Amino acid sequence: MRLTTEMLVTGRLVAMAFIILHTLFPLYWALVTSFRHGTTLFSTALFTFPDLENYRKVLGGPELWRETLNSVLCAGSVTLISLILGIPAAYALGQMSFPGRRLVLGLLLLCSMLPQIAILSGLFELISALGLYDHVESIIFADLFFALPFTIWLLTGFFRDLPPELDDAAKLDGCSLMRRIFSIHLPLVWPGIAATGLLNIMTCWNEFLFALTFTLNDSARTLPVGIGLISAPGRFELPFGTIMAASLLATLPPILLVLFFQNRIASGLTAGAVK
Amino acid sequence: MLTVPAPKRFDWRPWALVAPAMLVLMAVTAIPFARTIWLAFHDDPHGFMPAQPGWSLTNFRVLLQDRAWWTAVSTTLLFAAGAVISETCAGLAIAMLLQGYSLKLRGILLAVILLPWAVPSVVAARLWNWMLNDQYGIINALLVRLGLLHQGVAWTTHPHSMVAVMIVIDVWQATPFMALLSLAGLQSIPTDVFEAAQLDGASPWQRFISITLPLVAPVLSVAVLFRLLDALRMFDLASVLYGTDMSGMTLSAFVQSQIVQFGAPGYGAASALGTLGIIALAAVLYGVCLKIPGWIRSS
Repeated sequence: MRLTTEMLVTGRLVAMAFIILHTLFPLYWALVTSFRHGTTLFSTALFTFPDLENYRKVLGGPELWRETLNSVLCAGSVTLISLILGIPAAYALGQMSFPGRRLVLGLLLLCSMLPQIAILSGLFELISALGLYDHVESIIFADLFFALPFTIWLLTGFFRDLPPELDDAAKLDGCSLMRRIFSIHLPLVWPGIAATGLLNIMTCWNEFLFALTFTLNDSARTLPVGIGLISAPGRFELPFGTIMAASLLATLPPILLVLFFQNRIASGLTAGAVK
Repeated sequence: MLTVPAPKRFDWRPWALVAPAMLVLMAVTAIPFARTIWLAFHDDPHGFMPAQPGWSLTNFRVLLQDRAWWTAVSTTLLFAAGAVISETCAGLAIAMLLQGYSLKLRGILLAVILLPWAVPSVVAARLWNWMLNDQYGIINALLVRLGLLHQGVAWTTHPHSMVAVMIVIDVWQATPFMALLSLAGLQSIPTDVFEAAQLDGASPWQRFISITLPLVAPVLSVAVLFRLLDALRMFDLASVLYGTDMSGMTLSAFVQSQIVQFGAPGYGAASALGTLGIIALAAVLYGVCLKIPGWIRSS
């Protein structure tokens, strides 16, 4: 009996070690590759000395900076707009009962299940008609398609969790609707708002399909599009070192968000599925 | 206390709160979607030939005979099935492993495990594409060194392994999500159920089959549905890895390339509606599959 428990413990440890290795090795290998250039790229040695040549090359040009600016602009605006529009709507859907509430919730759920390509043809025309094609605004406009229903849906769940007595008591005290939302509910659903905002930022930061479809020139490109399109300048040159350097730089913000706000993000993700 | 019922009047306040969001949603969803449906039933212009006016089913007729489309259908279904099944099993296993650690250690491990989920898919595709490179990739080098291969395999250009490569990358990225949700499901099970079962002499396997699985199922089945819908519309990996190569294209990549590369918004719209149909079919099929254990038990 003793032997089996010991074996079990060792088995668990080995399994966990394998999982961590499988999780981190690709990122580690990207780091190693980003330190290599020229013929050292072909080396399969697992260690290397840090050589920042690729980073100097990537950060020296204007592309990465411009793409970062576009990504920040995009993720920031989409998150802000969907929170501004989503918080009042989620309050109404989570705290008030009115005829048509279930219909609105059902429509939101349908919207969030619709794949991006289902509206791509029509959206392409609409964005061209609005004169937004090849501007960052086009990506901001398009990203609201998934960010807004997601925001309202998630926040509605957080608002619904608050006891209705809270609202009733404040109402009896003569507190106006706007004051009730801003000074009573908002502070209480703050963790939910933070989780929703973080998830929105990450989804927009990583979004590729809309950003690729609605931009043509480098001036409106976001980071994923830039990284997706880096190719060899010459036939015999392998740009893997610079690709890995740019990739790691672009991945740094979401990774930092996960490391710092792991609990909030985890709670947001779970709420999205459980509520 | 006497309460006088207030005269029932239409309460406009909830609608005022919901309206701005719904109006914007209409602009970004309803209008483009309606336009997509309209486009699907209208012919595209070809070269110097202007489009035929009026409603037509030509796009759908061509779609049914398009071999590239059917390849994309099978690629997508194969990818979604492979990815979602592996991610669910791996996610549940990781969650059960994590449950054995203390709360503090679990938090740290979870943060590490969540990292690939935060990596943009484009970056993940580039990263694995480099690791799987036929000549200089580390994976081939390791396999050769271990004696499993004689020479490097071109994983990303061989039609048989193209879908497998996408599954491997997606598993790396999405298993954390499944692990997280499985963990949430596991934590909702009261521990005394396990203790009681253990006292009654149930083996670990029995405990897993008759306690863990049924109690995790409600949370897990929703998570699987999310993943399934996500996998069926996968675009990023296919686009970055294979571009417009027919043999690696998913449905989303097919639709996007019709619209952007070939400038055929009508045909693209028709294929998008076809994709929507396949996704709906898969979701219904999944719902039926969930009901089957219940039917077996009740019959």
